[in-house]
Amino acid sequence: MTTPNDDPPAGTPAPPAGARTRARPAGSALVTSQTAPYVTRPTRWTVFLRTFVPWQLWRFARINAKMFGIIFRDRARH
Amino acid sequence: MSRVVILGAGISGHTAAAFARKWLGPGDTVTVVSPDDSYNWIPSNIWVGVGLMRPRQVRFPLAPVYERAGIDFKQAWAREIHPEGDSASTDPYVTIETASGARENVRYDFLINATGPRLRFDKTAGLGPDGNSVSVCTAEHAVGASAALDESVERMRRGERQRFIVGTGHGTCTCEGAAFEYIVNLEFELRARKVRDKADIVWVTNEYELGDFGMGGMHLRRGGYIVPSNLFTESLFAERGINWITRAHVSAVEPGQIQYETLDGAQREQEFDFAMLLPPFSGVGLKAYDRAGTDITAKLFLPNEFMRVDADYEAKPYEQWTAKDWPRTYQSPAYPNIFAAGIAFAPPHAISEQHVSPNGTVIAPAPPRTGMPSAEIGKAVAHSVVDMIRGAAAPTQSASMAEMGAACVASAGANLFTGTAASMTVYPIVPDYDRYPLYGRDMDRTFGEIGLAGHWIKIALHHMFLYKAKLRPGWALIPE
Ligand SMILES: Cc1cc2nc3c(=O)[nH]c(=O)nc-3n(C[C@H](O)[C@H](O)[C@H](O)COP(=O)(O)OP(=O)(O)OC[C@H]3O[C@@H](n4cnc5c(N)ncnc54)[C@H](O)[C@@H]3O)c2cc1C
Repeated sequence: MTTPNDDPPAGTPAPPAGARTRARPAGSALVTSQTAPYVTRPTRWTVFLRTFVPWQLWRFARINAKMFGIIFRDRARH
Repeated sequence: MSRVVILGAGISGHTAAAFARKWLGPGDTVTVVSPDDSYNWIPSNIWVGVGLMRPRQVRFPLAPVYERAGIDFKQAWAREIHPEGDSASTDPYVTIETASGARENVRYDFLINATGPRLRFDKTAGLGPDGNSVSVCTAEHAVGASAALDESVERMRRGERQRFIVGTGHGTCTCEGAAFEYIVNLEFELRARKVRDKADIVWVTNEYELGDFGMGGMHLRRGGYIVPSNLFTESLFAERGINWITRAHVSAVEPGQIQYETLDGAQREQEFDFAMLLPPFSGVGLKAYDRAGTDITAKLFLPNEFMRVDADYEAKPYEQWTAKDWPRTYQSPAYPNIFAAGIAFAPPHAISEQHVSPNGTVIAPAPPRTGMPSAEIGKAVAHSVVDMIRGAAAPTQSASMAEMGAACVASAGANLFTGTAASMTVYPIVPDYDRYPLYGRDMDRTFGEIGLAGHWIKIALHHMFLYKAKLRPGWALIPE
């Protein structure tokens, strides 16, 4: 049981149902990659690209651009 | 002359103090009250916790930085807020207490509460560095985690198998992202130390699905589809051979074994040799008193000890939660010269869907308040306070987490050529189903990918944010 300080923030409802509920069976215990064959795995090419320096230099520029986009749009408001 | 007092020198309070000082005139004073003599760049504690950094690389003394900037620093705990003063004077003040027990009343015209979280290891029996698990929430905790890891590695080198459990130490934790960073760094480090084959690694989490991170997860464009984030987290864990337990409330951490309850109400246990489990958070337990000395703590704070601000705290069902419930100015509705910034403000409700087990145990992440929004809120609040000192009748700035994006880089292994990190942007942090009915977020501004570039960015952020926090030349140009 939980104590008052464990209370979720104001407005927490009873177990919900409805449009935003993502239904999967409740109560999972230990899941291993063997017992979860549905898990998506990356291809060897995807794994290779993750540490392939020329490609990552390009990604470095792109990711920075995306992050600065988020930061400066926010900044423009204050 | 105006007096601005800021409680807390973490990411939010330090940002607020630096900007308030920069924008206010020399006749105005800025005072920071914080119990630690140092600033800690908390995100890099992860690397301390796997032995890749020393505490001095993630901390620096505050007093010389504040002296140079013209900020008064009082190393003490704030204990009480007296927003109406007392019988002798209507001048509001905060009562602070030093480590030696000395008390002092610090008068203010504007107060910013940025005291962050209290780490509630006490909520789970045996949780935490004084119990049977380690933590990376502070640099000191991370040193303990690193030492425990070294001990496990030694055992593996002697041929023993070791089971590592990492995750959330209670059903209502937040900060799953930090634990996620720790588990993938740990796995990477075990490979680097050539003992991975002797390790079983288990993620235990209060999330309903992997990849929720207290933000209700997110959707991303990938390979011509819009896919949920649990797919990527599951994929990374499967690839790294990390097993997982979701929908879990850890109820006790005994020596070598956790007891936990899952959402179906079942009580289970899991053995471990090494456990890094995060605690749930509450506010730091500040008290408030009116002029007559009557306790008005409930007027300023919610029962979870976080400060009430301009949010909609009305209790309502999950389907009726909206982005508009979230605060914009962080002003106390009771006292217009009091603000809360960073983790110290009370969120109106969780972001993730809430779940309760048949035994009545809440097993659902609390909402995250990561570094970037904490700093942005600190800056916006400082700006409003400065404008109010100059005559504005009300706060001039807004920084709603429902209108703000966040950029986050989660380290997944630290090495300049073989390391990786998950780089993510999300907009807005709190999903807005009125503006973005399907996913609650703007799909053009929400993205994520794993790669070495992310690690380079993470290293750059470490140095950039420490430079900024030291208020070195040009600090204000570095974004939050
Ligand atoms: C291990 C870990 C890794 C993380 N990694 C990331 C990450 O990669 N990216 C990210 O964006 N976020 C990350 N976070 C979250 C980030 O650290 C927090 O969002 C941020 O620290 C919140 O800032 P804050 O100023 O509200 O609180 P804090 O940084 O906790 O600061 C609170 C301050 O208040 C002081 N204080 C406490 N009690 C009192 C009192 N009574 N009186 C006066 N002062 C008091 C404290 O000493 C401290 O100085 C991580 C968190 C953890 C634990």
